[in-house]
Amino acid sequence: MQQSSEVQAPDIDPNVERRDIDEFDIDSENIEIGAFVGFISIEDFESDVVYGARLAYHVNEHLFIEASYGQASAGETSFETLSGGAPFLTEDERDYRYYDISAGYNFNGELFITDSLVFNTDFYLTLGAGNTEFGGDERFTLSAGAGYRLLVTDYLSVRLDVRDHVFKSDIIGTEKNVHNLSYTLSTTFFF
Amino acid sequence: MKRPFYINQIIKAARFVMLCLSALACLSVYADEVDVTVKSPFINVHSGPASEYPVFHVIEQNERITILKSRTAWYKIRATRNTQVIEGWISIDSLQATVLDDGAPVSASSGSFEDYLQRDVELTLMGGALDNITAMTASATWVWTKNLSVDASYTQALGDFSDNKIWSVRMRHTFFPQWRVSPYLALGTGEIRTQPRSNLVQSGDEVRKSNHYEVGIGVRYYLARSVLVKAEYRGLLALTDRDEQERLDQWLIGASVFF
Repeated sequence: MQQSSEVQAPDIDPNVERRDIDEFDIDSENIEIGAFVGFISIEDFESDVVYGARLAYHVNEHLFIEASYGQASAGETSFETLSGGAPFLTEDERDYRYYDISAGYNFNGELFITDSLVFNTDFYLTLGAGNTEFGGDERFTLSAGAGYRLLVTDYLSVRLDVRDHVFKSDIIGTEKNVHNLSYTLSTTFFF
Repeated sequence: MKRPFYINQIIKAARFVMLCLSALACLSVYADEVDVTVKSPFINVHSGPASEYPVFHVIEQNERITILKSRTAWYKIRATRNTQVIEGWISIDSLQATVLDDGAPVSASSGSFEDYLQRDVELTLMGGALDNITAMTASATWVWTKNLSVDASYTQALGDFSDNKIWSVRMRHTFFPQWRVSPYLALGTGEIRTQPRSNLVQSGDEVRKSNHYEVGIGVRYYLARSVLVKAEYRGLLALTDRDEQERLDQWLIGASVFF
């Protein structure tokens, strides 16, 4: 009853305090974590199963930064196999380990399987640098590649990656740039 | 010397994948949903968290929506109209045109320059050259005051003759934090580890460690949402065991994200 005698409150109250939604209350899913398995062809040393892990941070709708770690075990050069002579590398030195940090650029898209079954997807290009430990040495490694991410749900994705890992190597004599191509399948979670 | 069959490798890999998945399963997803009311004439709802995804629904003024989660600058929402439930994504700009139940406008961090000034942590990746060897640097920064921040930095320079790994802790002073382009100065200390290439030294690993001091001069530029670009020169003075000290020059260019 008292209120009726007061001046009617304005529709927009300019004195409302601006209140932030606490960012931590809304689940932000910008981090992508996952494991991968696939094949890597190690130049001169056959190809092998490669497996590892990825951790990515999505900066904006297009750009992401990703750290990857992978390992494989190199085989023998054709020379070692054919000659039956002394091996170039010890068993330990055949362990192939790499890590890299890449920047990726997403081209957002959709995959229509039927009229009602639609998945969000990203085709992306990556470029990065890192380290490869192989043959008793660590080498600065450039990696470039492309991939396809299919989001099964908002937070679960299946990814196919093709990457070329390039580094200078003199393991089999003359120094040259070796190209090690990997094809991997990953499952990743956004959280 | 026959190499082990692929099966072993696949089992090993499968185990690793299982381990990762079980670790993830333990991370229970905690999420709060927030109800807001749309105040702008309308809001477009996209089918995915990017502007390229098609608009498949429009929320009208004074309609209530529930914010479920975010991905970069996009927010997943749920709207109910005539018992039909719609889920889709709205941009942060649309979100900012909504109000909470008590009438307060919604504001959320979007990685803008104003948010940059409020940041706590920066992560930086840089590439460049350390005395003509390709080098890459990763660093984490804790922002102390507007001007001062503390960096923990790790550099790796793998050359033809040696592997160099440098870690350092440094204090960085940004001269004009409120400018989009600002120079900065850093002073720090740490350790350099140098290991000769295995084909040069046959007698195993000989790691040489020495402490160092470093000074850094650089420029940072706020480029786009959540992204900074930096260019920097670092002068390193290694305190070697030998009579003379060694000076190293490092040139870097790279990008940072902030939280």
